[in-house]
Amino acid sequence: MSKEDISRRQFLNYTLTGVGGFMAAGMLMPMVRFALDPILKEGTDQEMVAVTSVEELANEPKRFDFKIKQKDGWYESDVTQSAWVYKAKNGDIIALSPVCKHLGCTVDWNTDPSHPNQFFCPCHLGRYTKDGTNVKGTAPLAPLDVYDSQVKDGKLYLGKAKPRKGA
Amino acid sequence: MKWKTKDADLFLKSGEYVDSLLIPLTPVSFTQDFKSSVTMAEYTELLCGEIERQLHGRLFLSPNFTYVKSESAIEKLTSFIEHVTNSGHFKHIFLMTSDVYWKEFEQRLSGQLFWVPALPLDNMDENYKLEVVKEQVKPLFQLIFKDWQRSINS
Repeated sequence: MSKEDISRRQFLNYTLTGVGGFMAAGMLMPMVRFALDPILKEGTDQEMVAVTSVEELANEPKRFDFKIKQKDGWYESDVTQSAWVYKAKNGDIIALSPVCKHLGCTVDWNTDPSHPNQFFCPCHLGRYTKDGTNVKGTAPLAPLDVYDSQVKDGKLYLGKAKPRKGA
Repeated sequence: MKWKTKDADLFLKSGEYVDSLLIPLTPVSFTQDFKSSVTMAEYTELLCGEIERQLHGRLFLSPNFTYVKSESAIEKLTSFIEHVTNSGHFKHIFLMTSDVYWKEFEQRLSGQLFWVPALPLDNMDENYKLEVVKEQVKPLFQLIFKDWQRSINS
């Protein structure tokens, strides 16, 4: 029989290092993963939601309601949102958030008889012009938010409502 | 505004703009009326939620006023409304319910009662449900606006 090319001591050393290495890796991997987690996380930007087909849009603002998923702590719920959408003269599609910048009521289009063709907030009589700019002297201090919008296959997709600089 | 800490902070800051309180009246029962009381509560909450969403800045949505039908719910509600009025925050009080019990007390309540019979919405398609709630709520807005108008004129 040939001489053993590996001693008992060596064999035990190798196995122990191997098993120890596995165990260390098992402990360290989750820690590294946790440390890197914020980088690996996907963007939390809200996804775009299909709201309507483009043909339904006109020069007059029209209200569309749609549902988005909202996460509130552990609780996930469907939240209804609205948008006032119209086609501008140059063909651009403009989607305004109906949430009044004063205290958050929902504004309506053309409902104040003394100020036609304006957005009107019934709560504290705030007014906005058609492009969403707040009328000076009324309650709101900033223009209406604008939704990120995108047209794909004849459908209008809306994303997040973004604030604009005040007038 | 809702019964939430975030809205409570806003209320503390700009309370002078918030002068209306909406109270959902929902019966509670675990006996024979169990299912119908759940349907009523769900429906009432849905309507109240939609109204709150649209009038967020002027109307505060109170937590549900729950009651057991056999007891003297009317006395409890009266003292609750009294507490609300005495707080001095609210000039307009609206009560929303699907329970016909309140209809006979309408005159005794110091708030406007909206009685809307509950519809079974549980088997309804989501989009259709949204449509139904929107239509149901529309005339209620007119009543609320009218009440607000009255206080401007008087």
